[in-house]
Amino acid sequence: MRLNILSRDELESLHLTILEVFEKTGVKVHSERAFKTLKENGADVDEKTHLTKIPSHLVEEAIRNAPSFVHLYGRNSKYRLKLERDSFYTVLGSTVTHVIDPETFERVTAKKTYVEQAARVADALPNIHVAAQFCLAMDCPPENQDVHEMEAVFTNTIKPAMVIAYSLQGVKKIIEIGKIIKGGIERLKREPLFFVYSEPTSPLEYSEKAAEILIETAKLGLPILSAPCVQAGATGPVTLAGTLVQSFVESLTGLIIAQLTRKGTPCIIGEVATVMDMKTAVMGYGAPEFSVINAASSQLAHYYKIPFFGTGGCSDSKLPDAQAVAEATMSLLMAMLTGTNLIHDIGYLESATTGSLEMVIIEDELYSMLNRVVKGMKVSEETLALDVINDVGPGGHYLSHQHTLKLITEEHWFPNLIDRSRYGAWKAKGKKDLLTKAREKLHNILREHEPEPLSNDVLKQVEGILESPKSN
Amino acid sequence: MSELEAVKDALLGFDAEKLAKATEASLKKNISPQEIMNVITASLKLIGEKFEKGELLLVHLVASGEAAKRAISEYLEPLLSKEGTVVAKIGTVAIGTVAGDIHDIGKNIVASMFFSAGFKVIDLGKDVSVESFIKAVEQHEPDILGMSTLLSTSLPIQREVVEALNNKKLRETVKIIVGGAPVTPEWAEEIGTDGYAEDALEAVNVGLRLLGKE
Repeated sequence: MRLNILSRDELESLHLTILEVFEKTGVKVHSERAFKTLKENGADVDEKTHLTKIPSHLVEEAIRNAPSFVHLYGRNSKYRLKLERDSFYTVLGSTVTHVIDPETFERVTAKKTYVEQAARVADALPNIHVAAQFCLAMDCPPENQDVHEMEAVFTNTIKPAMVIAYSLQGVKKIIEIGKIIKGGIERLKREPLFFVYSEPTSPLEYSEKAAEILIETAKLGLPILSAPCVQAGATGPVTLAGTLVQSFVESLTGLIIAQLTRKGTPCIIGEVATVMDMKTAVMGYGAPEFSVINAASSQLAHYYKIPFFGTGGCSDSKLPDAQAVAEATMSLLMAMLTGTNLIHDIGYLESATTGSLEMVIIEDELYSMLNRVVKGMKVSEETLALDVINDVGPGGHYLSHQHTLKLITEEHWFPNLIDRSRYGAWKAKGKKDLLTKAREKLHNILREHEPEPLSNDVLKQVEGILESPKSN
Repeated sequence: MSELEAVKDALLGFDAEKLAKATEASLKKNISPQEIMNVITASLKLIGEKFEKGELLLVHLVASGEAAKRAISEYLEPLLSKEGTVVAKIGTVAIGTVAGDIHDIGKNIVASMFFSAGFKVIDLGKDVSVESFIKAVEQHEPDILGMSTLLSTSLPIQREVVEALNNKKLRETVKIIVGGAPVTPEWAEEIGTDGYAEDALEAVNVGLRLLGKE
């Protein structure tokens, strides 16, 4: 099943407006390397203010030059995610300042242990496809914090990951780790273990750091994601369409710099665009508008034939409670129905402030359930079951029919955490609600799941990168 | 509607253009700048109260603040300073987003709220270096210094500013408030500031408390 919320005409209007913003308003690109490249290729650059106006032919050429698919790999070639067309995969939430401690269930300051735990949980769950720096390693030295976080991720899961680097040095070191794990740059390029996130700042700015991280990654031909966080009404227009336009200008700026740095660089475009809640000034991660902008953005990215990174499975609630599950379900379903290739921030609570592994466990189940919705209804001679209905006839039953036995697991979804037992059985098992069961499963994973270890030799080399001096 | 009623009406309608015109019209009728100022201050207070009660939104608060700022700086302040009257302010706030960070929407909201609450606000902008913060304290002698950041990697700058103020023996001259997503009350205490605020409204309340003007 596939949901399109915009007409072809509306997509065209969005695209034309995006091109006009590039030419009329422009983007401030605060990186000398970036605006020099843009200038050489025909952009109108004010070297004093860094305001860069990009002609439409340059924008459209960059969109054409970006590959229409990006494939991500785990440590081994067998684990492959194909970001293309309508495929959708989940990405763990990233870099929050607080987590809900799995043992005490208290909101605490983020530290490296929780990054490790989250990577192990992602490793264990079938429906969490891409790992990430679940939270900040705030107990690690700031100048090396990003490298510590990625080390925690890569050593605790075989799955691919999203990389958020905090400096040029950081991204260089993280790429080194990727090379060690994959066995060299060529192999890493062929089978990317990660993509690097570069974030423009809304409205319409690209910080030096974000641009430099992007150029460093693109230079090597590794996948790059450019995605801004726009808050409609505050850092973007109050209208959803206007916010989408601005968001795409910002995201495409990253894509253009990447394509000019190295033609054919695998690019993912994305957005984290939602409303600013005008009573609290909080960025609404559980807001319905978020899902609408995401749906339209996914459609526009498909129109450009570029893999899309969107948002789903997040909440503004402070706890993994009913509000959290309601909001996460809404955004996950919308993202899946619209073919959002990467659906990120699984486990986000408190408007991207707190990470909850309980939510990650619950969302692994939600994904499975919603996937059945997205699969829709298969209509064929076999599923229409004309002969079977005739066979059983009035007053019979289908329970033991061969047709039932053959197709039951294909047609019906079976829950794991979601409870469908009768009252007596539920009572006998301790009257557990969803959260209790999720916490039990979480504790079980943390106790028992051992991710496939890296070889001692690789671990030693990774350790070396972690300890190497800043200037390395 | 009297001229002063028009001033209040324009502000409560969040209309900067109308407010400028009403202010100009009031002055033409020889209403004193101080009287107009009083109406503006009272109206901003009313808007603030309505926001706290949930009757108005952040956009109304910021829009009325900006409208008032324009009317005051364009029409009232020049006259008042000519008269030699110093505009009564609760205090002066210098505020900026620290170096390495260009996310300033939060800082802008806090600045706007301080202004509406009756503070003189010196907005230092974004990506503000330690030196620029120190220079601002030396030059403007603010009662409060506000520092924000969204990026955890820019947190250390807040500590550096506090240390630099200590070294320059300026720390005792100013109250420091910090805020932003990665900032916690523990961090605010650890680096030796005077206050932490979770949101803009709280920032103003902390500011008032620190100046003993709650």
